[in-house]
Amino acid sequence: MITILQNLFQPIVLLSTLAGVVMGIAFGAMPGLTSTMGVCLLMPLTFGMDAAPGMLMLIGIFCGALYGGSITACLINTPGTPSAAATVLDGYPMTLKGEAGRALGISTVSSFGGGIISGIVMILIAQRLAMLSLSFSAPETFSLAFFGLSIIASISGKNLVKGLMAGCMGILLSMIGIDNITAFSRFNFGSVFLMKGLSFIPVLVGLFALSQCFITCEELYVERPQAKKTRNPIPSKKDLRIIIPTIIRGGITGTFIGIIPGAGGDISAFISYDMERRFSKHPELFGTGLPEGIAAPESSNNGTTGGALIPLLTLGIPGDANTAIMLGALQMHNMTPGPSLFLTRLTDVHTIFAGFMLANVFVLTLGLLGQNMFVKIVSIPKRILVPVIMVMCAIGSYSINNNFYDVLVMFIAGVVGYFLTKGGFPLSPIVLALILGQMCEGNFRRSLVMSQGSYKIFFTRPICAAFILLGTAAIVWPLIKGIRGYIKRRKGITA
Amino acid sequence: MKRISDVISIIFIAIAATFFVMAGSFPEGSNGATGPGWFPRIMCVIIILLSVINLVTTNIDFAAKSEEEKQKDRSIALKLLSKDNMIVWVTIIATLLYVLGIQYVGFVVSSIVYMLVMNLYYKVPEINKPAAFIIPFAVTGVLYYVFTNLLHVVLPSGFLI
Repeated sequence: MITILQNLFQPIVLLSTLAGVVMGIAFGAMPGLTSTMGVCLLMPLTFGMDAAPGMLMLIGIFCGALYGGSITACLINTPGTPSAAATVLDGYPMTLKGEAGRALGISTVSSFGGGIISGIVMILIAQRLAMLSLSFSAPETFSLAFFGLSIIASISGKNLVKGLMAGCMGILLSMIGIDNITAFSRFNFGSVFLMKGLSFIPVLVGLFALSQCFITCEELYVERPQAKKTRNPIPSKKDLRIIIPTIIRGGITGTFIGIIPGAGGDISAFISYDMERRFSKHPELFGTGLPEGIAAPESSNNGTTGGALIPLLTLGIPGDANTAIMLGALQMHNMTPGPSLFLTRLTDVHTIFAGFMLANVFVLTLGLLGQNMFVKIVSIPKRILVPVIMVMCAIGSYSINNNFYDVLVMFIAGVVGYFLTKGGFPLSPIVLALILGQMCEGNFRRSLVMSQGSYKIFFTRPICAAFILLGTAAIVWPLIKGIRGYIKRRKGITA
Repeated sequence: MKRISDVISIIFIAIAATFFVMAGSFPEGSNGATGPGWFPRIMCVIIILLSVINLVTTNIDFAAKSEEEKQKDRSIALKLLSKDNMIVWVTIIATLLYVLGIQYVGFVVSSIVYMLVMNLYYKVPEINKPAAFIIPFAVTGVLYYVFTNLLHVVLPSGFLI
């Protein structure tokens, strides 16, 4: 224990963790820059360091970016990272009420709470929990993706049909590119660029950032309600009482989802938001700036950080793109992930565990101390901010693959997003479907290969059947409610 | 909103129909698995069904509205094409030119020119004259330095920089 603390409090370890968190928050807060990009681009910086500080810098970027995404989500209705897409739903309405500081305070504490919970789980039950998710094969992963997609029904608000249309279109668009089962190129229209499929980040930046800029242009000279500076950015006791149970639920959900390969902060944030809304006594108030609506996705997406590290460190399986890059970094530091890591480099592993907790403390400290600076962002006049955001969207989209076509995709997605919003179509379902579409289809088809074409496989496996039942109920119930409401409205009109 | 929603529904139907036809030429599945065209075709059918439902329900709802509500609904579509909304159209076209400019002119010059032009068009000098002229250079400089020197991203240079 003393050795771990000695390792942890070495100046280089502290500095690299702090630098990682600062850079991560900056990456997360800038629309178009993601934690994956931050981890990827800054990884070469760590090669000159020892294993523990190098890995902690990457973990710091990972944790910081997932939190940082919520800053722009709350302040300017633009999720800095895909994981913060669900935070927009209640974070921005709270800012519009003039409570930007409160929104950021809640998101900071929730991110910290989610991260710490996932850290505790990682330390205590890492191997056991990883074994559980390892038993997931194609049918379970399909059912999880299906359950994730069913959330579209509840994030569509009053426009259920439009939400489902947008979601299905998102799934269809996710199928552009090479089919990962047969390697057959689908819907590429003869374009080499489309053979890789639509890059998700430019679409997200276009839909959420660029289209928002176009909408902002409509009322460019009408200044929005100014966010008030908060003297005490720490959430009030009342808010804490409300959000602590949400943070615990979100943190645990996020950790569990983070362990599952392929499912990351974006999925867990939507699932937690949806769970919180469903179990709330006042679900109709979600989307109007509720503390639980910010706490659920934020605790959940930061919860995935520890969760994603569990299979990486214990079994060498990356949980998401960030941990996949970290896998490469571990190998560069001569650390072979897997059970042997715990036998040969136990001190380093424990230092990483302790450093993970420290990174979350830095997230909390920087988040709370930097609040007034973040609040200042919203006081910048819209007409100054809009061109700067446009340029950041372009450079952010370009730098993901150093590809000009990604900038074009971002622009097209922005224009499409603008018109969809004007037509009353929600944008979140497209994003969710783009993330889950391939995961859903690929695992559905793999399952059928496993069962030689029998659909029974989805109903004879308990976890799979449970997720499918929950997902079906999640879609059918709002549909029945919608049809009932429609019939009632029609009766009311004719009467 | 109804008109915009109707147009989008029709576009969705057209896209889904195109994808459905294309998916028909994909190879069949084997070993019990569905082929690469099966899932997209299911999605296309669902999109077409939902779009038709959307077209029908919005039109029934619209017909049942009072004349005042109908006028209000129409005004959303009309506003989109009105002079008041010109700022959005100009912004969209300017952004398209900027996006193309990044590739053919270069990131630095096109970003500075784009931000300067937009600041002038948005009348930024009326609220903060120095900001209108300093921000384009400062933002471009910082972004160029961070991406080129710190992140080692090769930004497009076009025939200028």
